[in-house]
Amino acid sequence: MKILTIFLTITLVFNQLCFGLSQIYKTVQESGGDYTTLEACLNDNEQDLVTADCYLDIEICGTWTADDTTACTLHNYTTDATRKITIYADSDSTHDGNAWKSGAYNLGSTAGSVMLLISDGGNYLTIKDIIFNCSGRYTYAIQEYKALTSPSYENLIMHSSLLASSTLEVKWDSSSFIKNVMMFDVYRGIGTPTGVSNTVVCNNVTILAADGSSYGILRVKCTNCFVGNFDTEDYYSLSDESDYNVSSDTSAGDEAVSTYATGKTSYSDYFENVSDGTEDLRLKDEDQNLWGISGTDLSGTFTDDIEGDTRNNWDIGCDEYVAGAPPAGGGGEQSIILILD
Amino acid sequence: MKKIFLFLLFIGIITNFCYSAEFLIMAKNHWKDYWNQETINGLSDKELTEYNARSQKGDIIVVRPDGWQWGRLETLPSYIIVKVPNLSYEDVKDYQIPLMEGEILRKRRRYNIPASFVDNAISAGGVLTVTSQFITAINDKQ
Repeated sequence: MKILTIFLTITLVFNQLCFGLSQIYKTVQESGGDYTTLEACLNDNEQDLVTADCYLDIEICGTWTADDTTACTLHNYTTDATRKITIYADSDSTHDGNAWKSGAYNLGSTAGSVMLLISDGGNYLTIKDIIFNCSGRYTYAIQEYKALTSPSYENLIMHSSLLASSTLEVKWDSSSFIKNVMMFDVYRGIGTPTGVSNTVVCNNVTILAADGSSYGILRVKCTNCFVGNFDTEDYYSLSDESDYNVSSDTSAGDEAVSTYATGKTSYSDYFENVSDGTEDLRLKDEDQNLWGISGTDLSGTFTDDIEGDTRNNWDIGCDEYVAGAPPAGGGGEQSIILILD
Repeated sequence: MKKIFLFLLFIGIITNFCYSAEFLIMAKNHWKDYWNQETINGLSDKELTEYNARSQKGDIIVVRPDGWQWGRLETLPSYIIVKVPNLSYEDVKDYQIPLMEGEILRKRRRYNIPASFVDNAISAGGVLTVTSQFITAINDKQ
C-alpha cells in the first residue's frame, strides 16, 4: 500500500512537471460557495492564464432564491485555446430550457447598461447554461468590447432587454460562435453594430420580440434560426452564407438562401407558451409540421439543444422537439402507476 | 495620526442593531500593477484603455443588503467587507457600477475608498462595521 501511495505521488508530480496545464476551479453559489456573485469571481481571478499554464472553470452551483444583481466585466485576463475560461451552471442552477425554472441562476439587473462586458479575457471563452434577466435598466445582456478570437455563447436564455442596441452584441470582426440561444420580450436580438460578418456564426436561435422592437438578427451568419414579431425586420443584412431560417415577415428570404420559411406568425401554435411573463419557446411539434421546412444537420459542430437533448431531426430554433416528452425543468406532470400482483 | 483618527471616526463599535448594507471592497493589488514601464509603453491604444480600466485596491466591487452570507473567498486576502448600518441598500446599490464613457469602459469600478482605509481594515481582520459617515469617504472617479 505504501509503495502504491509513493508511486501515485511520483506520478502526480511527474505529470505536473511534464504536463503543466492545470485547472483553476471556482464556484459561485448563493451560499456555501467560493463567491456569491459572478463579478466578484471574475474580478478576483484576473490573471495571465497562459503564463500560469492554467485554465479557469467557473461553476455556478446550487439553487438560487434571488438574481445575481451585479454587472460583470471580463477583462484583463490572458487566454489561449487551451488556457481558456469556461463559465457554466450545474444541474440545480441551470435553466433546462425554461426561463422561469425555480432555483435557476439569473444574472439579473439593478444598475449599469451591460450585464456582461467582454474584452480580452473573452478571446477564448465559453459561457453557457445561464439566464440573463435584463428587466432593469440594462440594454445589453452581453456586449463584446472589442473583436474577440473565439468566444462561444451556448444554451443561454435572455429576456427583457431594453431599447438601444442588441441584447447580445458582437463585433463584426470577432469569430464568435452562438448556439441554442432563446430570447423573448427583447427589443433587439443578436448582431453587430457595423459591418456584415461571415465569422460570427449564429446557429439554432429562437427570438420572439417585444412590442415596439426593431431588428432580431443582423449582420451575422445565421443558420437554423426562428425570429419573429420584430417591428422593423426579423433579419437584417445577414451574411449571404445564411440559410434554413424562419421569420414572421419576409426577411428570412431576403438573402441568397436556398431554404427558408416566411410569414410565420401563429406563435402560440409553435411554442409551449408565448404569454407575457410565462414565455416558454420550446417547440410543440417538429419544425417540418410547424413551418414546412427542417433545419440542416450541424452535427459536425454540435449535437445538443438548449435542454441538453441530443439533436436527431435538427429542428429549427433552440429546442429539439422530443415527441411525448414533457419539457425538462418542470413543464409537465408525470405519473407512475404501480401494479401490485 | 490624522489617518488613524479618521479611521477611528469611521469605525463604530456597534452591537445591537441590524446592518443595512454591506460593501465588498478589493483589498489586493491588481496583477498588472506589477508591470514595468517598458511593458506599458508597448501596449496598443485598446490595450492601454483596458490596462487603465483594471480594478484597483479600494474599489467597491459588490454591494449587498444586510446579513449577506459572503462566499468563502470573498474575504482576505482578496476582499474586505464593510458593514454600514442605517443605509438603505436601494440607495447605495449603484456604488457597484463601472465607469463608462459612451461605450468605452474607463474604469471597472466608478467608486472606491482610500487605500489607507483598506490597509487599516486589513489590520483589523478584514470585516468592519462603520458608521454611515463611511459614505463621505467614497471617491467618485468620474
